[in-house]
Amino acid sequence: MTFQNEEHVRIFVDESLDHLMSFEKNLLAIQDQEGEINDELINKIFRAAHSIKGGAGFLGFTRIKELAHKVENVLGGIRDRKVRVDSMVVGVLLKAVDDLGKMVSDPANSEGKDISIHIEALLAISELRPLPETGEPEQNTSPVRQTIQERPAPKEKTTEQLEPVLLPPEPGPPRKQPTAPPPSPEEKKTSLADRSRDRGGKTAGREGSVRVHVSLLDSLMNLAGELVLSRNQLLQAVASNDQVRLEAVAQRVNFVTTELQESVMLTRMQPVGKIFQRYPRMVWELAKNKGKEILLTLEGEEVELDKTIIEGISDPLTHLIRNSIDHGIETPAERVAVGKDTRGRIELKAHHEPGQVVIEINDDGRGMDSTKIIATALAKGILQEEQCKTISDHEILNLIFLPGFSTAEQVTELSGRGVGMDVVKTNLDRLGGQITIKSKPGLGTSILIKLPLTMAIISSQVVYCGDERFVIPQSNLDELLRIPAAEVKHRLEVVGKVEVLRLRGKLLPLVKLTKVLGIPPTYLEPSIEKKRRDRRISIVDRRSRRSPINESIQNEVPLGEELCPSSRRAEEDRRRSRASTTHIAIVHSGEIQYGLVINTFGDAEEIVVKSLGSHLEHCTIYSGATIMGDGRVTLILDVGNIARKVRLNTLENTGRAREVAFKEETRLKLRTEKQSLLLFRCAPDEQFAVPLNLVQRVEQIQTSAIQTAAGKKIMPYRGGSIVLFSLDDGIKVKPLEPADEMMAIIFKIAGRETALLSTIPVFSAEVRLLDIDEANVHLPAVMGSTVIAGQVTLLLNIYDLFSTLVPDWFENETASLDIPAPGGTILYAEDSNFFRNQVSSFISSAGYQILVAEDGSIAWDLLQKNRGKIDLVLTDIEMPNLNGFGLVEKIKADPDFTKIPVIALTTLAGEEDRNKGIEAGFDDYLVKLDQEKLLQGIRAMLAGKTNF
Amino acid sequence: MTTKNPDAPPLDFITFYLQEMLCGIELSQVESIHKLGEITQPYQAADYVMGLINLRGRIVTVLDLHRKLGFAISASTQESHVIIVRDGEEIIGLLVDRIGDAITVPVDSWEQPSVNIGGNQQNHFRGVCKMKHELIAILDLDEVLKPEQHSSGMTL
Repeated sequence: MTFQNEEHVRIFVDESLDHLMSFEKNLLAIQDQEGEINDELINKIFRAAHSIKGGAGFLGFTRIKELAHKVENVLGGIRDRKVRVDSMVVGVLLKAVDDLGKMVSDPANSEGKDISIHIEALLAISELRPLPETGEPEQNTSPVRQTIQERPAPKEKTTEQLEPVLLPPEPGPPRKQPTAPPPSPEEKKTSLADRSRDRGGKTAGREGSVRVHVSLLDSLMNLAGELVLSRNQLLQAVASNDQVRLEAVAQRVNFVTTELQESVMLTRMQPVGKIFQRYPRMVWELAKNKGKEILLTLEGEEVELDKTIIEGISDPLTHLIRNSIDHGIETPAERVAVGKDTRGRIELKAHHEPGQVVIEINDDGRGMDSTKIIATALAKGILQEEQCKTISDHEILNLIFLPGFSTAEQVTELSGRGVGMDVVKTNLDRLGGQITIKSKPGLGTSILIKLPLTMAIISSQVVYCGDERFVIPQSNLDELLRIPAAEVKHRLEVVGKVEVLRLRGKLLPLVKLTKVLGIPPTYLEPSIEKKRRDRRISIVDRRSRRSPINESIQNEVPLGEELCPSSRRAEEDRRRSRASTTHIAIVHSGEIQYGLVINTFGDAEEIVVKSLGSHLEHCTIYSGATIMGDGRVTLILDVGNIARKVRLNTLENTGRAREVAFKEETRLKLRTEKQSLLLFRCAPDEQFAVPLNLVQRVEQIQTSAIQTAAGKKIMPYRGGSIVLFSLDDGIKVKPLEPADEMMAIIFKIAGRETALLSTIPVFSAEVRLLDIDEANVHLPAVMGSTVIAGQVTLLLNIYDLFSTLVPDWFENETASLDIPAPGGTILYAEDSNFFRNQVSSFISSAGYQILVAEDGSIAWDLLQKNRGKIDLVLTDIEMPNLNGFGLVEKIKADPDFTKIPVIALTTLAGEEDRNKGIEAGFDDYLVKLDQEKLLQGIRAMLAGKTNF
Repeated sequence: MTTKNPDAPPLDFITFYLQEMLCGIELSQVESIHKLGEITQPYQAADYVMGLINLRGRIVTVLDLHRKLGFAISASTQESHVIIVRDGEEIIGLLVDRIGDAITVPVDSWEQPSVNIGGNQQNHFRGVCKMKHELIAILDLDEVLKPEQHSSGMTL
């Protein structure tokens, strides 16, 4: 009565496996509900066993039929409340269903399978007899099994057996376990391409087919029809050479293609339930093994993800859940001791967010112990002693993602073999996923995984290197940087042997793609518009900072020298030319972030990922290839494997990294203040800046009008005459370029008008003083250097400059002013390091005592400590903790201090601001970098005070 | 590999030249033949991997038969062609210098490959066929298509 044909068998296998998939989960759910048996659930699994029995009987698979029948009997007993569901019964059923699954997926060989052990145990249960032997049925019968099974039979009951149990029931090549020994960097490859290969032939037949809803198939069919229609229209339009129609058709093709792409993608979507379903069993087994009680709840099983991603997250999820069981959930005794329910809870949830799916794993276990993590990190040398003080909670949790980290005190079978979390992280990275951990000690841990919906089509960034084009997946890309030649000195440096980039307070190692690929580096020679071989070994400028880690010698070249290289050299120095801008893609993989140095950037594009053939398998720096719009093949770079290949280490926590981080903090404070500057040049490649509010006027003049008298340049001006200076008269900069017309920047210094000559044109710019580098400056009259619009710009101190140029003016000035000689103590509150240094240095050089405070509240404290000693308060407006307005309010409200003059010192100097300031109680309102006015103001105030 | 079986039916071959050497691949193993178009060079790949081409939306690895067989290197020319063959799941292109004729060869004209044939990769040949004027070296595709391990010269 056998009636077998291949098609029927295939349908039977598919259906039966579907039935079995939900079997475990539902069975365990029944057990979790203990006394209360949910009829719906029991009916479901009863029907599953029944259908398998029926199908197997029809097709003549007697062994399958027999086993399914006995399972059905037991389930019937449970349904009729005759059989009590305890862990022993569940164990027997699960084991039987395991074998049933194996037999069903390979029905042709099912007849030879020995199932007597299951039959016996199941019979015993349904007849309410004690089991043949106490304990688990597996224990006494394994020899019998081994004789018949051609597949490797389960080993003797040991903890090791847990491993095979966790494997998916289908046969096929063994899956990679996340806890496998750490692969060496070269071996570590499960690239996009690998996965797409896995998708290909070798996996079991079931993996080869997907179920698609008829409605989806219909819509695909419709779209295909549309596409054919569009093609016909396109051909017609091309034939008739009708531009208008062509555009309309192009739009239609575009629309239909997008729609078709999206619909085809939908056919690849599968519910995460497919993998969620294996976890109840796993948790049940592991919990039993560890003597813990755990309730696993699943949520959002219907959420759909791309097939590739579903397959890819299975291992990481398994590992994370094992971690929760092993490290997270405490034993019942421990839980009782801390007042928790004896049964621990693990939640596995999935839900949609726009463009992505979020999977959460929450447990109510002991949480992660930061001190333990730190201790381990210290012991393993991942963290240095002094870093512990500054490390944030978030950073502590992230330590566990670093390779070679494991907090399990005892290495167990389940997890904690010293690998794992880093592999989890890397695997998720490959899928374009992100993982975040939150943990509250004693309360539990929550892990959030964000995954893209699909991977077959990904967005990517095109980059060029040499003559070649590559793409980088956007999921690995953080940002694209262009570093103009002039900035290289500030942004790139050498730490140890590695070239690094300074980016917002972080040091990132740089990797040159040309070097990774082994292609000769090229650069664009601007004069001949041709690519040339680049012979530079290091992209770091010779003037960049070097080796700050083992610095005994500072290799810095003084700025002055840089400004005056021999002119021949300067002309040839292509580091300064626009074309030699360095392009860097900031990329990340796992915890490693680095800068990939390339030639230039292309567009962002959506690409279809295709696998590489077997001959490129060992080329781990590529994760696949794609075909671009022009029909050419382009390789996809595997950012993680590139880092591994060049053995990149993170630089975080080196001394230099912290130093940079500190500077960054200061810089961020400066960022809030905008300064109006006048930019000018004396030679084409040197830019200078002066605060705009110090400039009286800017006039265009004829060079011929300048006369020389007594060694000074003098020009008739507005009925009088004016003395002109050029910058190189006073400081060591490039000489003023001769020209017929020039600009005269007119200042009022020491009561007279005078001018600096510059080339045409001059600019005004409102800039945030981002990166004022004071340390680099060794020139008089230069406050610091910064980069404005990609140009290194020197910030000039006009007073210092003119006091160098014409010292006698200032002596006269001091004498001529009819105010008392300087003296007295000034309190200066200012949060910006730069201004604090600048202003306090010229105030103290004018003969005052100065006390500085980083913000208003510190100033207030200082004021109280130094009661009666402070003669004047200078304060910035914008400050943390207590701002200038708050400070003046406090001072004016205190009877002791109310007489102390308070001057607001700010970069803002509009009339409105001024009025507002005076209203708020300030005695005067001055501009920071106007040194002369400031000193006058101070003198006037102090004089006024004594006159009271 | 080269045991003679006089009863076997004659086989069809596609012939091609590698420099001056006439070689053959069984026709049944050949999918198609194309002119060498735009090719993308995969840096850091084994040196016998010529590059990747786009074959109607499929990405095909093209192997440089010269290098694979251990010949001296010759640049691709106007006459260079890519023979597309199937290797299990994968399709692979073989770069050859010039395409010859399709021929039918009776099995008894086969001989063992001589020791000096085919550079230093003798095992890449199944045998030699004697024709009227020429000898045809028959490639053992399974052997030729086996990926070789190589150590990429990373100098960082």
